[in-house]
Amino acid sequence: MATGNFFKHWPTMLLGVVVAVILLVAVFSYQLNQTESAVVTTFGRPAAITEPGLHFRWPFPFQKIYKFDHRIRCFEGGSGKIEETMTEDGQNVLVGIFVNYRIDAVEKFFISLENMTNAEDRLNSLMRSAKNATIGQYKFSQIINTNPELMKLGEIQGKIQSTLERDTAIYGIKIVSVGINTINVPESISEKVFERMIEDRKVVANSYLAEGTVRSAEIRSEADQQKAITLAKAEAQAREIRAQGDAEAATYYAIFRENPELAEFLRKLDSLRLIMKNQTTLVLDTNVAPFDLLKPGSEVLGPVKPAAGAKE
Amino acid sequence: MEETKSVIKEGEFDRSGQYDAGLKSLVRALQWAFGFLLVTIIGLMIYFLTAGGYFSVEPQHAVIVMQFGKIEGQPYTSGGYWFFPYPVHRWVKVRTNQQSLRVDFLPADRPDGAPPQALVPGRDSYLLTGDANIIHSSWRVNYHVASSSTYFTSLSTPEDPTADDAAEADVNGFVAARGPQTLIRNLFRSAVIDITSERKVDDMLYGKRTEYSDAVQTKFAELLAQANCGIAVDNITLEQVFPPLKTKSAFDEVAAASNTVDSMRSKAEQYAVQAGNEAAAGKTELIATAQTYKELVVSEVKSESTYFRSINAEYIKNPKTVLMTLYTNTLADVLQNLQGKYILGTTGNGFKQVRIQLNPEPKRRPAPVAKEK
Repeated sequence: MATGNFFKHWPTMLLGVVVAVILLVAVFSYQLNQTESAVVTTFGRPAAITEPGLHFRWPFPFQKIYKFDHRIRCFEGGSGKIEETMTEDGQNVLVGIFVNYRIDAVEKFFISLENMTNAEDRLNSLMRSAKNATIGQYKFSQIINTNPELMKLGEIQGKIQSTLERDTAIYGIKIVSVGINTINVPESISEKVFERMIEDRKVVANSYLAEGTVRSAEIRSEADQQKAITLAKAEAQAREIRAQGDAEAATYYAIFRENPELAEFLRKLDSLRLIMKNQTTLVLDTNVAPFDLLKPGSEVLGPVKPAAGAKE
Repeated sequence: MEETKSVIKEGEFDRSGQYDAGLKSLVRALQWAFGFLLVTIIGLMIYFLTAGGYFSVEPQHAVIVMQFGKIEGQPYTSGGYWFFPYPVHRWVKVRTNQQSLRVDFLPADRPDGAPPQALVPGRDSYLLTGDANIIHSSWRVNYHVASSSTYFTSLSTPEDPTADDAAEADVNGFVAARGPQTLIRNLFRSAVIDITSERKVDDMLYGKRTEYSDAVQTKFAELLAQANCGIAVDNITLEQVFPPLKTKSAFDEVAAASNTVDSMRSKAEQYAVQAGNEAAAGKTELIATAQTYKELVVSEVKSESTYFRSINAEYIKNPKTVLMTLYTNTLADVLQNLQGKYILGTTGNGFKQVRIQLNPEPKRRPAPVAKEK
C-alpha cells in the first residue's frame, strides 16, 4: 500500500527531492570565482581560500564566508587627495596621486582591514603620508623641468610606490603601480604664474620681432650681396666677351698696315663725323679747303672780295 | 469523479454530512492547484535548462564562461552557445570594440562673459609645463580590450563588465569611481603630466604639438603595457591645448608678433626673389651687350677693312683725288648738320678779332595769346 502511494505520488516526491538537493547544495557549498579570494571563518578562526571553484562549507553559525575581489583596483585617494605639499625648497605644490593595488594575502587583509572601505581609508592615509614625505625630499625644479637630467618625476613616483609597498605589506595589499594624476599650484601662486607668463610673452613677442627684423635684414642683405656677385661675375664675363671681340677685330687691323697714312686719314674723317654734332659751332678760315675757293684770287672764282663774318 | 477519494474519513469530521460536498470540492481544487504548480515548476525547469543556458555573443563583445567560478577555455566570440546554467556555469560579457574616453585638463565652466579668474585646485584642472607655465588641454583616448580574459581577471570591473565604472563612497562620504575607466583615465593623466612637465609651453602650443601628442601616446602605451591589463591603445587625439584665459591676450600678442615676423620674412624673401631676378636680368643684359659689342666691333672692323682695301686700291692709282674727295665729302656731311658755321677770310696781317656767343640760349616760343572769353 505504501509502495503504491510512493509511485502514485512520484512527481511530488521528485519535486521534494529536487528542492531538498538545491537547499542542501546552497547551504553546504559556495562558489569562488576566479576573480575572487575568500576567507572562511570556522567559529571565528579564519582560513584563506584562493582556489576558484565549488567548495564545501558548514552552514551558519559554524562557518562564515567572506569574499573579496582580488583584481587590480585603481584608487585616486579620498578626502585630502589634493592638498598643499611643501617641496624641499619650500615651494607649495599640490600633487595628486593614484594607486593601482590588489589584495595579495586575503587572510591578512581580512584580519587587519576587514573590508574594502576600511582598506581604502587606510590606503588614503598612507598615500598622503608617503606623498608628502617624498615630495618634501625634492625641489620644485625636480618635479617640472625641461632638462631631462634634472627631472625626477619618475623617481618620485617610484619612491612613493616603494614606501607604500612597505607600508601596505602588513595589510595583505600589493601595490601594483603608483602614478601622479595632478600637479597644481595654490591659487595665489597661479596668479603669480599668470603675471610671469604675461611678462614672458611680452619678451617672446619682442624677441620674435627682433629676430624677424634681423632675419629679414639678413635675407635682404644676402639677396643684395648675391645680386652684386652675380652682376660682378656677369660684368667680368661681359668684359671677356668684349675682349674676345676686340681680339677678333684686331685680326682685321693688319690690312691697315698696307697704307698707314691712308688709314690715319680715314680715321680722322671718321672722327670728324663723330665729333661734329648739331650743337657744335665751327669757325674756319678760307685757308681750309674747300673754303679756299672763297679766297680772293682763287683760281676758279677769280679775284673777289671775301665775305668776312658771313653767317648762315 | 466517482473515484476521487476523500482524505476525510466518512463521518469522522462531518458527522452530519452537511459539509461533505464542499470539502470534496475543496480537496479537488487543491489537487488541481498542486498539479498546476507541479506542471509550472517542471515547465520552468525545462525552460531554465534550455533557454536559460543559451546566450549569443554580438561581434562587439566577447563572453567569458566560468564553471563553478573557474574560467573555462578561451573567451567566446560571435555566435550562439549553450551551457548548463547557474550555478554550474556563469558567463560575463566584455566589450571588445573600440571605446573612447575623454580626459580634460580644463578650467571649470563659468557663466558667459564672466572675467577670467585665478585657477582653483580641485575646481579647475590644468597642467604645469617644464618651463613653469600653465596650460589647459583636452584629449580623447581610443582603446580596446585586446585580451578579454586578461582584462576580466586582472582589472576590477563592475558587476556587468560592459557597464561604466560605478561610484563608491569612502568612510568620509567622498565619492569616486572605481573600475577600468578610472584606471585608464589615471594612467593617461599620468602620461600627460609626465610628458608635459618636461616640455616648453611654446612646443606644446605651437610648433611641436604632434610630437607632444605622439610622446604622450608612447608613454601611455608603455604604462598600459606595464599594467598588463589586456587593454591596448588605438590612438589618442589632442583636441585642444591653450593657455589660461587670463594670459590669452599676451599669447595673442605673441601670435600677432609671429604673424608680423612672418610677414616681414615674406617681404624680405620677395625682395630676395626680386633681387635675384634683377641680377639675372642684369647679367643677361650685360652678356647680351657684350655679345652685341663683340659682333658690332668685329663687323665694323671687318667692313672697315673691306672699305679700306677698296679705297686703298683707288688711292694707289690717284692719291690726291681720292684724299680730296673723301675730305670734301666728309666736310660737307659735317657742316650740313652744324648749327653755327663761320668762315673767316684772311686779312693782310693775318690777325682778326671775332666774338662769338657760345652756347646761346635757345629761342623762346612766343607766349600763347589768351583767348577771349
